[in-house]
Amino acid sequence: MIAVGREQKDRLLRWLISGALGLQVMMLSEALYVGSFFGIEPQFRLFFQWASLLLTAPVLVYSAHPFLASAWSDLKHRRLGMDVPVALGLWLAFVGSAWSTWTGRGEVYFDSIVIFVFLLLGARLLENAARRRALRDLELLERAAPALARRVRADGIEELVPSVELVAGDLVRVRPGEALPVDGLIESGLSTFDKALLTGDGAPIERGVKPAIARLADRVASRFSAAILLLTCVAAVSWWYVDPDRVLPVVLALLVVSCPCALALATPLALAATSGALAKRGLLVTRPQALESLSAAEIVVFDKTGTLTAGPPRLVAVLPRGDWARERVLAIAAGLERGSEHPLARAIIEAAAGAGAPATEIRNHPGRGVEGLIDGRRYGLGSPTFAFESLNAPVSVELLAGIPAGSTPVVLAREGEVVALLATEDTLRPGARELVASLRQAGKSVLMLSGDHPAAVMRIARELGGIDAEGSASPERKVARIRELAASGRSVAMIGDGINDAAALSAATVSIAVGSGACMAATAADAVLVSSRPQDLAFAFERATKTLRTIRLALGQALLYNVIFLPLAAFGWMPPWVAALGMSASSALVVLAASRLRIDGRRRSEPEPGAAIRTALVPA
Amino acid sequence: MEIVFLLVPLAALLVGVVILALIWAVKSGQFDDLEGPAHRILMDDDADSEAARRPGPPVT
Repeated sequence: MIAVGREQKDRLLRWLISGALGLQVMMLSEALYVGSFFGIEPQFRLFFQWASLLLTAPVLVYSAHPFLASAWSDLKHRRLGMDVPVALGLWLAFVGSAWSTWTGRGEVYFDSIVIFVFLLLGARLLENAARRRALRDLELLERAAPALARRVRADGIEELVPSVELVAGDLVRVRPGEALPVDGLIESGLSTFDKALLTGDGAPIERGVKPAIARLADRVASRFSAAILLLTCVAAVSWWYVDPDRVLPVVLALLVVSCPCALALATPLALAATSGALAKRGLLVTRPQALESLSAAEIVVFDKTGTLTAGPPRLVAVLPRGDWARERVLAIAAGLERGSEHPLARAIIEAAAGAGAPATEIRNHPGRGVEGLIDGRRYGLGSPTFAFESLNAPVSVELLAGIPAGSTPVVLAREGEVVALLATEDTLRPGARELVASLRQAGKSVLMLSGDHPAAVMRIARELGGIDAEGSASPERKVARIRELAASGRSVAMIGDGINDAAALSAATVSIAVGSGACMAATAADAVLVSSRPQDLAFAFERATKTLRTIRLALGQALLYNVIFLPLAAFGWMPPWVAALGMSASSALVVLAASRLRIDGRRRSEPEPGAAIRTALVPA
Repeated sequence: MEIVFLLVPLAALLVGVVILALIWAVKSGQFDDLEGPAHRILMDDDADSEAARRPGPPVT
């Protein structure tokens, strides 16, 4: 409970007041209970009952108001929410007890009313606090992302500065997928902008308003309420013939014991707790229902680059053609790649060990390559397919055979001529093999779709334990393949780079964008993994399954509890105060089970998520 | 035992005071941040340390 909002303050006050008054009522009813055993003078009995009545009235009118209001609105909309039996029970108990007090005969249940209100409010306060805590975790992570801009200095070198330090006239480079740091004019380059934030168009589309399991819980709660009301009527009529004095206690016990809070609490609490735990591990869940789909996913599709392999890939060979110099090739490649977020770009820039040749009119073709103008000539750098199709470079199989086996070829071309071949190699991320193994153990099949050269992709697939893999997959091919898998009725989880795979991510049932700073803005995915550690992904899958299991367990437990306790209450073997205790115990169990999901399983020695985010945002 | 006729209203009165205190506590923000104040002892109070570093009036 931090940063209490107005609504939360209001709730807190209602709860505190019900507690303060509840203590008084409990004290008085204690005297009444003892009195009914050992005898009590009628004048005291009457006095205690009247005092209880006066102390309970504010609890019913003020503290219990949220339940009564929500039950009333449910009734007005001809719905049966779970607050209807609650409100009915509270009012029946109060009116019945007040009648007993007035006539001076029969039992009073003021203590049951106040305990019930106090515990119910407490449970909702807890639920709210858990939800707020999860939201706060998310907010913290979002705020940890500083608004940075790449300022291009007069000498052409980029520097990373906070956006607030920019002044008019500065030149800023914006890479694909990055948010614009300031308003400005476009000097050079061609791209598309997502103006959703400005215009409100294309706002993220909610895929399904509520998770299926939450809808199920709502539906069950509604039918459950109807069944309870029916059962209560039957019990009331039956008891009327058996013993009219016991109608009220039986009806109260029934209404109180059946309060389906546990049913309604289980799902939101578990989802909130898990989202919080995952956020601590660097996985931001933007749609809580993603957890359910994640656990249900039958096929997990990986994009190779940056997810399973450690980025940036190593540059293993530079093979210039003709009389091109190695240094010149690297300088041109670095100049072109400066505007790219692709992990390969970093390897090339590092190898060039300089700013690279100044390139203008840089155009990025996501997942394929880049082209730009250097010294008045048009150069292109990208996959062999890209060089062949878009740059008209004569790329042949014989040519590509010259690179080291298993490495990925990158072609540098100039106006229909191959300038050089660059060979890059990926290394597996530590933990990638374990991630694949754990997914397979959970009964999911793993597929790798990569835009890289098939030989390189197959090598990685073998190293990962022989998973299915497909190389030379363009972004369009990935989308088609995922659609194909989804069409066969299986749910597909796609894990990939937020920029190049944006379309593939949104085609999948559930998706996680992995990666660096630019991905923070990615909204196509259901979740964003900031840490880009395979262990955290494995944790997410495992925890999603565990969450679903916890929810089902909680729902089952709530059902079992009702099956056992309802008959007891209907046959009159349970006083209302025991019912109130049982109801709260059932809710408390659900809350505890959900709280266990908050544990993020991180050892103390492991880095804080803040550190992971900083490293993700600020390239070394 | 007639004393309870006085004691119970007295207790109720006391509860009234408690409730007023609770209302004040919630309204004045006593429950707004239940974690922050515990860490406050670890924070540097910048304004104060600044003042301490500034040269004070000459000691006579």
